[in-house]
Amino acid sequence: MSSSLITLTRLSVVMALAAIGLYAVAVFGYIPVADLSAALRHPDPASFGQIYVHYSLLPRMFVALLAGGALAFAGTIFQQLLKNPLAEPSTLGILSGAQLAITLMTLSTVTVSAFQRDIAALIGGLAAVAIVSGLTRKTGFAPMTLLLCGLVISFSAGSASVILALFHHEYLRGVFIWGSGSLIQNDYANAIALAVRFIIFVPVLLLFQRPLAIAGLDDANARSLGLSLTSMRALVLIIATILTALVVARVGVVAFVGIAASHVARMAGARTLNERLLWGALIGALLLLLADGIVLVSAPVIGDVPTGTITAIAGALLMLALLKSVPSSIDQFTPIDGRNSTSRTSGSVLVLVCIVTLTFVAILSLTEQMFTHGLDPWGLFTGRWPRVLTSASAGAMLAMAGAITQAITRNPMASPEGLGVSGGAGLGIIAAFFFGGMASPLMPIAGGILGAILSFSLVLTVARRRSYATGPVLLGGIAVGALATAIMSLIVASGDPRASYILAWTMGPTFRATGIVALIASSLALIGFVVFPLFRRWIEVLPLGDGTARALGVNPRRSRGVLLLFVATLTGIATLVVGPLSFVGMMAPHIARMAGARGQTRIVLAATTIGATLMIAADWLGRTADFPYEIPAGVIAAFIGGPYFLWIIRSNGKTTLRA
Amino acid sequence: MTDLSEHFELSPSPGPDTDLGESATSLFELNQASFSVGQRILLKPLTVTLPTRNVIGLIGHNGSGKSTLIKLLARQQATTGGVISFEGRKLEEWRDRPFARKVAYLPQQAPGAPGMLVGELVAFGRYPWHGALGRFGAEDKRMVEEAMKLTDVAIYRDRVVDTLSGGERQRVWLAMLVAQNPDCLLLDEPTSALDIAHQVEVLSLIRRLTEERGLGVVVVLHDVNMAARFCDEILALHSGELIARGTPVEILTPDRLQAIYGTRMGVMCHPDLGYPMSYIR
Repeated sequence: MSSSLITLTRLSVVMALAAIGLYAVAVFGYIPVADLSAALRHPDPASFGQIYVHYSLLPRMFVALLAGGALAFAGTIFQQLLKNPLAEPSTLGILSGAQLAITLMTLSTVTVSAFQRDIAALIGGLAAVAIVSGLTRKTGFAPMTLLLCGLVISFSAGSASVILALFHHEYLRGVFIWGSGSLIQNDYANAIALAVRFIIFVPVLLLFQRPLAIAGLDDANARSLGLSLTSMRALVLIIATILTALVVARVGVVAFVGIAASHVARMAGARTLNERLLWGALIGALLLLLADGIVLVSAPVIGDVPTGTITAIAGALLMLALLKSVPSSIDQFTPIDGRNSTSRTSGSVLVLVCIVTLTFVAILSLTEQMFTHGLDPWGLFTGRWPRVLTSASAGAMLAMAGAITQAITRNPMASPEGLGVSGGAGLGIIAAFFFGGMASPLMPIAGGILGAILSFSLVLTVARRRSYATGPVLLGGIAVGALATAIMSLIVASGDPRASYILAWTMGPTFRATGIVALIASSLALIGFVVFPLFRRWIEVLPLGDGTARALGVNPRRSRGVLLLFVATLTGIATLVVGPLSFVGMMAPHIARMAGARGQTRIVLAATTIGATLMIAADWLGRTADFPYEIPAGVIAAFIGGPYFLWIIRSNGKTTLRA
Repeated sequence: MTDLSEHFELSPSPGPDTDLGESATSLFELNQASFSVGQRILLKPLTVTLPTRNVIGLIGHNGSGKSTLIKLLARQQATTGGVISFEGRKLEEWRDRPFARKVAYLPQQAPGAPGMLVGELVAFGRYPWHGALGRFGAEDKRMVEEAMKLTDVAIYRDRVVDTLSGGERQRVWLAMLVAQNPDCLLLDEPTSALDIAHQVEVLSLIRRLTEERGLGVVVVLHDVNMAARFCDEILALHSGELIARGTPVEILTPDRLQAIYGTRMGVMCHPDLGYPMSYIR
């Protein structure tokens, strides 16, 4: 629009000047201006400043430029390929897949050579892409489904890396700092390796420029122009993935450069695919250089923050801002579970069955003696009841929140976790820890609720503008979740003594529950359960849409606001107990529906009991799976939940295709 | 919850007969009511009075403002200028539920009702009467039954709404509106998804409701011949402006139709019933 003022050339020059300026500040902090040319060419071995500039800052600059350029280039290709402005290496799960593989490699061998890291990253990245495309092949790589799968993979792989770090905390900081995309260098090896990769892969990908341009059209059009979309997509996807994985192997996870660069390029006037590819790569390189310059200059003040964390935070914010540009054509993904709607199971019988199961699982968890032969059952009971009760309450609250969220967003895939509400609650709790200390348990609760309200309102605002279309809402939620994760990993990488406590807490340690916590959690869950009938009719009417709700005399904004507060409170409290990482809020309502619950009230009731059952089971599994070590219940729930989420996406994709 | 304060407006067992006693002659009065989004004016200032117990058809080309007008009447959107009153009170002075007891609205695209049974959906029509917390009483039950019988959907009672055909679903939504027991129905193209037989069926039902229950109806219709056949009065809009108002006989003249639709049309008499019909020349 304002192309007269901002042109691609001017923008690049300004960005380059700004980045060089920042680097200059950093460089001249170490050496006097007169020594610059000496430092660049033949550093004096006796001068630390000259050695540092020559062997650390200079290669760091090259690495930032090359990595940024390559990631932006690959990002533009992914976007074109999937016709989705939010596609890029991180949203497709490639970065996290590679990260997980490298973390595994680091932990399994004593020393890891650069070559081994490349191989591991390749395997991880390709595995992530293979899983994502395997899950979406049936839908012909429908962009929306693909993106959601990628994000969930990314989420699961990311949390798996976190868990590994948790169990091997001697590596904790190193793995984390690397994983968050630190660009610190101490020789030219990475810069040279990246340059070689850039020179080989970029021309190869440019060969596909013409079919890619056609792929940007409608699928039917492309097919009628004689292009076999599926095989072309697969081939380009693999090559671009290889490029990305090889970059990740050298610099760690640098997310969102791809999205940011291609959008900046487009807004500044790059129109054709060719322009977007080349300008996008240039702007990506400059963006990462700029981000790194900022990190470098601010390092004396706030410590060595990994550059990738900065780009992740900026990128998540950008993603939220860009949601309105997601084409509505990718919203065709409308999952409806009418499958078992004709089931004859009567509601009350179903709820009864759920309650019986819940009781059975609870008793089993309280009394089983698999590893504790000969212990007094009463002793077992007194030791175990707090954690069982806590898990049950948290599960019930999350499930209730999930069922209500799905109803008011008219979105069967929504959940406190998927919409970033849990992440927001987590951030709020962390903020309360840091600013208020841990003296009073009220502060974290208030922080959690406030965080949940803020993030949920944010997502609902985005959603309202898109009339609650499934795709944008989920993406908005995932962006909020990514923001929360990025900030948490920033804290962990900072080496603050409270970090490992927070890390452990994000995993959902129900084994830390004491009797008091259990009683508080269960009474709050009970209050939620008692209050719920007040909202029953709203929850039934709101899914019919704002228009109908208004025509029936329900004020959609006010009733949604009240429900929002309710959901946020439930989520905030539950998050405080089991951490932000569990899919119980999404799974429980689904299981309830699949078991034949119909009508919002019955779904909420059944889901609540199912959620409690799931959480008790997760707590029990965490206790027994690696006895005598404890695996946090939140981790178990997330491990079951991630694949479940993918499976739901997949079956929904299939029904869409059939419809 | 302010819902409780709304209860004082609830008259005891307001059946259809009590409504007939009302002697108000106008439902909606518009005074310079207009609606615009940014610079675009969707409805130019309009001053008009809509009478009760009539079927009033809104016709016009695409984008002429008919949907906008009906949304303003239904309080789905607020006017950006001027005033609309219902039964003598300004729309914004009405509380949500009392208004919903008087006026029922069917949006152009009936929203999905995932996993919901017909009976449950129709029962939502009683929400304005019992509210968020009130009991679903015998009276409510009776009204729901009656509405389902009137619209012939009682046989689908236990079917899932989303499995019904377009015409059946339209009738179910109408049943919900009838169960709402309003004085006035606002319908935005209720026949758009229907074949000709179902169109006639739905419009006959609407006609019957006005006659049996004394309802006022404002209905947006695409098909000018259907409007002529079923409406007492027709309002024609063009580019957000009311350009003609009158009985079907007054509206269906070649000149008027040319002005409304911008295409040359002729008019003849229905061979059996005598009402005017248009055709494209």
